[in-house]
Amino acid sequence: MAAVVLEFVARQVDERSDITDDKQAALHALFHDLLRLPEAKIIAVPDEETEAALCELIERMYQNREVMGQEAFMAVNRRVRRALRQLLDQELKVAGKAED
Amino acid sequence: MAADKSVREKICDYLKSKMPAARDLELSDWVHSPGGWSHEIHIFYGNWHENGRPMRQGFCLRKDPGAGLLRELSSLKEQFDVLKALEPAPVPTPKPYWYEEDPSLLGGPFFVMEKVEGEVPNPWSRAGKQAYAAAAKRGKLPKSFVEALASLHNLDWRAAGLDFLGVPGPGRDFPLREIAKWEHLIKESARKPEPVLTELLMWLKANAPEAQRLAFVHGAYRTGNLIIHDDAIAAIIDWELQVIGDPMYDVAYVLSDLNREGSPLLSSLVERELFIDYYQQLTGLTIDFEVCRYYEVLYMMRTTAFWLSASGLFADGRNKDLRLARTTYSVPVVLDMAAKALGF
Repeated sequence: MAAVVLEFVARQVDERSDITDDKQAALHALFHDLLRLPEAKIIAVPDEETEAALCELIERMYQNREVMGQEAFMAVNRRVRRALRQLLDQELKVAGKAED
Repeated sequence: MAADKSVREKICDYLKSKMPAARDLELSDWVHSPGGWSHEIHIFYGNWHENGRPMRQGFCLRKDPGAGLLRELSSLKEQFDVLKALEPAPVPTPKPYWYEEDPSLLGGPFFVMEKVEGEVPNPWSRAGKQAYAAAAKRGKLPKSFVEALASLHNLDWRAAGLDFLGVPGPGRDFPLREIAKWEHLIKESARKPEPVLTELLMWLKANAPEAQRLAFVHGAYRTGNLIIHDDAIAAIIDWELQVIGDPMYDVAYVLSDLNREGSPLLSSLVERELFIDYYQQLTGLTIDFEVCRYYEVLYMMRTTAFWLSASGLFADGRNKDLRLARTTYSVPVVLDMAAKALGF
């Protein structure tokens, strides 16, 4: 029973292709912007435009915080957070809590 | 034939072995409480004769189901040891009786403690909210709420022998240890990359405050984890998250919006000003609101870890409690609260 419910829920989420597309667009825009942001050079922006790659980038950003300097860190962090907001808004659509 | 016996019979046999002076022991008034996400909870009364006199005593048994919310981070043995250490202390707690590791008895470790008389109104239910709001108007329970918390924070935890819980080093060690603990649970549970959670974790590590003082901290001090009798806290329960740490960690939990669902009262019970003034008066501590705001964000990360663990256990088929399944939808909701707290 539990497995059936979970599979149903998982299918509902999988079938929301609009969410997947919007998340991918947010990631693409982020990595595109970071490649052109001089402050982001030190943290090596990955080629792969995935959420896993973004997690690694965030970790590198904080690990290199001192080397980057506060201003550069804040500039990159601001852009990353804008993308995170977009990703979260998509997740909230699944949770039924999106603020449309 | 022992394998065919019902749980009730097994527990009765166990109590008979622990209470040799009890004659004609029978157990009654059973409640299998759905409250525990980490442990099975059985509440019942023992009725027996001793030295010719009829006796009656309430018991509460907590059993490890093997796949609880906190996974291996929740230890029944530690809970039992904490209650033992607190027994002589001026802290309202249930009296612990016996701990058993042997899985052949009930299928997993368990311990038996006193059933403290009183009620635990559910703070998320309408009836519970009404009960706490009415108690707030009467005025006695809110003060008792603060007094019980102060009794924890004023406790000489070294003298009580609670240092087995682990003592953080100076400075930022306490919050960093808490982050590491919950990050471990996240890594065990998460089924996909969570970049918002990664940002939250990294922010918490980068901004961890120094603890001004170490105290014995409950870790989830709120209504729902307190037994109430005669408008007073009869016992603090749910000993799963306790640590030696910054007392502001508990204070932040009380101040948090997480525990009052729109009620203007802290924990749906206590006026904010009353809590702040009375707590400071009883403990001699000054509440550091900036540090509390930090810990409130840490709690959002911890709650996310709980929900990821819960939904992961359900998805893996290790726990069939349907309440766990719906927690997958709570993850982005809590992350949204954290993102807003961090300004995005």
